[in-house]
Amino acid sequence: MIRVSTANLYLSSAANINADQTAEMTTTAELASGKQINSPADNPVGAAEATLLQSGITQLSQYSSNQSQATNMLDAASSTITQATNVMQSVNSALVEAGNTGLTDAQRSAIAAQLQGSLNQLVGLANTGDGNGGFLFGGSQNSTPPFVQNGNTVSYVGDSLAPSVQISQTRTEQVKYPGSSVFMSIPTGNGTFATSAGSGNTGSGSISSGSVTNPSQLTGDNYTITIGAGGSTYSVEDTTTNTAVVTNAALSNPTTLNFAGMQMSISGTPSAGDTFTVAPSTNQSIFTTLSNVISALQTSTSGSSTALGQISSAVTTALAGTQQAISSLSTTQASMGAQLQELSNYGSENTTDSTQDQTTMSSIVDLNYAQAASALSEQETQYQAALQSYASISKLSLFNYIQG
Amino acid sequence: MSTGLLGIGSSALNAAYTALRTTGNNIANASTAGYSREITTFEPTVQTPAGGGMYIGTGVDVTAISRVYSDFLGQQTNLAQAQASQADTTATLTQQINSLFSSTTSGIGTSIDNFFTQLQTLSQAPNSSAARTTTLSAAKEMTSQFNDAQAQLETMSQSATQQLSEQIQTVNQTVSQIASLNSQIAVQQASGNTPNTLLDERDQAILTLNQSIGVTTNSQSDGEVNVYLANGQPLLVGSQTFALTMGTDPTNSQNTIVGTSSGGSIVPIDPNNSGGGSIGALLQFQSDTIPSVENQIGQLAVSLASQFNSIQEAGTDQSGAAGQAMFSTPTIATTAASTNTDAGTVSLTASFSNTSQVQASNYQVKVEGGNYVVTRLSDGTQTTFTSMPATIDGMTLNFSGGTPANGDIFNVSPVQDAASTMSVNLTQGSQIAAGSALEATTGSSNTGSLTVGNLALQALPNNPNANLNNTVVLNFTSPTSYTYTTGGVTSAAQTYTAGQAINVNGWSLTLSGTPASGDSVTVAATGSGTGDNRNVQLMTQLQNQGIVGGQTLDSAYSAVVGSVGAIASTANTDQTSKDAILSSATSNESSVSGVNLDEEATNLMQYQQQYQAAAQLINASNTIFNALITDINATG
Repeated sequence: MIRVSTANLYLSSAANINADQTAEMTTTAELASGKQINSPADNPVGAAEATLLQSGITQLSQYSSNQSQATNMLDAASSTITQATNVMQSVNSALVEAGNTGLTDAQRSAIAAQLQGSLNQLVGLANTGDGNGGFLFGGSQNSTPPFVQNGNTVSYVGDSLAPSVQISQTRTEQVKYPGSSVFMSIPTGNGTFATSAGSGNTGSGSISSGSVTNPSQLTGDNYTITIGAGGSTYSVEDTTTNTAVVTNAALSNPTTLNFAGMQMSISGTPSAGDTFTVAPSTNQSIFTTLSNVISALQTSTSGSSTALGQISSAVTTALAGTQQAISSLSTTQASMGAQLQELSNYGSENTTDSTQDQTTMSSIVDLNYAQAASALSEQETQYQAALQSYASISKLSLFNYIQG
Repeated sequence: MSTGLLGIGSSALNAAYTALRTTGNNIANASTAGYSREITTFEPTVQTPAGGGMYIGTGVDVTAISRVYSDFLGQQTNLAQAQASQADTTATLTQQINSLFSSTTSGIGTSIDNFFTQLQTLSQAPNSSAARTTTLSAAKEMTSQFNDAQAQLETMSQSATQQLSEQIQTVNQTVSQIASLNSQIAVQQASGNTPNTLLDERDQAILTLNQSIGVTTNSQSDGEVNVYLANGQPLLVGSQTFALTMGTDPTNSQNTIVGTSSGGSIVPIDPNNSGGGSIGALLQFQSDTIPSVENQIGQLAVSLASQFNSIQEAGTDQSGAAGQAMFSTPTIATTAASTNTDAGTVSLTASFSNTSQVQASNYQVKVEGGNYVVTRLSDGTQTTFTSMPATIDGMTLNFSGGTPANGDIFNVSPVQDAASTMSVNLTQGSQIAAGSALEATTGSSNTGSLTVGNLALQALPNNPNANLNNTVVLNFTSPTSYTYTTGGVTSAAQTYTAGQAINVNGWSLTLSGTPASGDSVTVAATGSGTGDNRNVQLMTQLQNQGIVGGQTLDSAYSAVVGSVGAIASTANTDQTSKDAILSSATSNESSVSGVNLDEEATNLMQYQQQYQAAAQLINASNTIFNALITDINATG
């Protein structure tokens, strides 16, 4: 039989009541905070995981903010490009009109004025702000508008950087397209080669922008087409290698030329000794294309067929340039569209991840109220029982019965 | 004494009275801590011959009033007490650290996240002075969180030192008390007495001693006990006491040691094998727990500060100047043992060589047989070097002031104080180097399809190229060849291949597309006021790189939280179990030695009745005597 010392009986009763109280207090604290992890000691692994999840959620919300910023920037840039494309479409119509040989100088001058307006409008669009104190098409240069117009000469003072922001842990998204690539580097001619009429031409002959018939035969060389005596023949020379390609072929109006995988046509009546050149496509800015044709249209012809021929060539070149510009703008816009699509995908992925993280976090950290409430009532019962048994045990003493 | 009926009655009365007193004393001390209940033992007195070969009893003797005490259970309680005190103290101490890391919405981790959030916002608008100012504030907030955490840990450590000195005082007082009880007991025992109260007092004092420090006792034949520490050093031999003192570890001035003095030096108690008690807990807390947490947050601070600085210093700030370190540059503290042969002349120097490899540990460097043995104290890993300088765990060690002698000991704390010294050097938001140092631009009159790809700065900032920021112009002479010009000097012709890196002056540039003859690309300093966010993007990427000993900042911080939680949770579990053991040991001991009032009540009844009966005996003897006298008178 185990003896029980009276002092120890009281001590252990008190200790039990104390333990019951502590357990009840812990559960009450959990219920009050709604969390089952109130300090790392409550669940070290859970607390560490919750810390990680918390920073993950913070990061995701930052990525989400970056995504919105990227979306806003790209939306703004895309709509600006839509407007620029509309301007170029109107330029295209104006140039088609300018190609009409029956126009008077005054009419051409009016078209030039219209194109001048388009040029100014384009510069304005290219200098659109990004809403953050910078510019949509200035690369990383923020201090001054990236396109500087001096008369009809437009130069680019931005840089060729393409700023990006982080939209997920591993992916960055380009938010700006530098103006140098959007407006300044439009391939000349048809994108592969460019044709032009010699500046000293005296006839009214003009050359089309041409097309590629056989890509495998392209040489990338420069060619000169020279009109022979009487304006009835032409010869083609590869001026890069100084070899004759076509010699004294017959010329009518119009004549289609075919050499080195390229095809183009000469129309009008060129004079003997007039030259046309065919060179690989280079880059030219939209603004240069416009300003070149504006100055050509402003030239006074006084009915000179030579001048008309040169205007016609200039208009042809400008039309090709405009087409290239429209196609280049739409390519840029398409890639912005793809990015916006990607951003939207990342956005929903981000939301899913964030929800997932929050759910996991909640399952680790948050309290199961039903469980806690039932634990609390169990602890209360236990506490009551401890109090009651203490009360009845403390009443019991042999001394109570042996008095008197 | 009369041997007749009166004598028997008298001895019985005396015995019952003694037993009643003992019972009374038990009742009186029912709640006295350390009191062992006492019992009275009786023995019949020597019988006398009653004629006819018979003997007749003569009464009762009280032979002893002895305490009911079990040495074995006493030892058990002492041991349980030492362990429970250690567990209790450890639980209280670690709970403080636990509270330090309990918030999920404030503290170091949150401030790191916030800092990177601000950097991301800055990357959206690199020119916004609001974003720059906010980022700098977030950096300052983050460093002050590191500072605060370390300051609180230091306060805990200081408070532990204070508690140690109080506990040491208690120990020394208790040991003196035991010494004085020892001599009183020896005197009493020598004169054949059993000094129950003194024995109880001494047992209680030893129990008290075990609350402070776990001891073993050894009883001597003269009744004295000797008291020893867990490391075998005596605290008390007979009546001679040996004072427990606190001092500085001669081999590492940063460590506090506790022990008894022997030959002028302290023989330290091993914190991991202290025998228990509050002192054991405090020593362990101070020498293990606090440094391990400090090292972990220090490791975070060092990695973050130095890796961030590298990126910041490689970039360009808003004014176009090269970035200056954002955070104070972490340095490594080293100490030399005062016992070294060359103490005061030869010192160990240490610097960081790769902060992403730095471990959360202190190190000891010991010279053994001409070799240098470097011990990583967190896990005891030893690495032996035959010569210095040597590189280990992202730091380079070397000696200055001469060559150390065999047996010399040096201590290295690479990161322990880093969290307290971390600070922000920059004063203006504009000094944040959001932009890259260099920018490559294609010539405005280029006709080819050349585009600029990646421009990376190599081997920065540890090995910067002096010409890095010089303007370099690449001039393409054909689609496949180029020369570059810098400082008026033009290089020989180089071969260009799209996509292949071009390396000049410590940068590396990748171009794509086909250049036309006459095209150019200029690489030059980025300049001021740009919206370049390339460098700030490198900064934000740090958050997800394994820069803290292979872990990311977030996972390293969560590991700190996890380990702090584990320490506290283990301490709590340990406390519960050690308290249960103590409670069971105490209960066992008290079931033998404790007073049960009901039992005393029956004793009281028993002895009271015995007393009444004895009194009745005397009364009977008196009645008989009176009857005899009356008869004699009547007949006479």
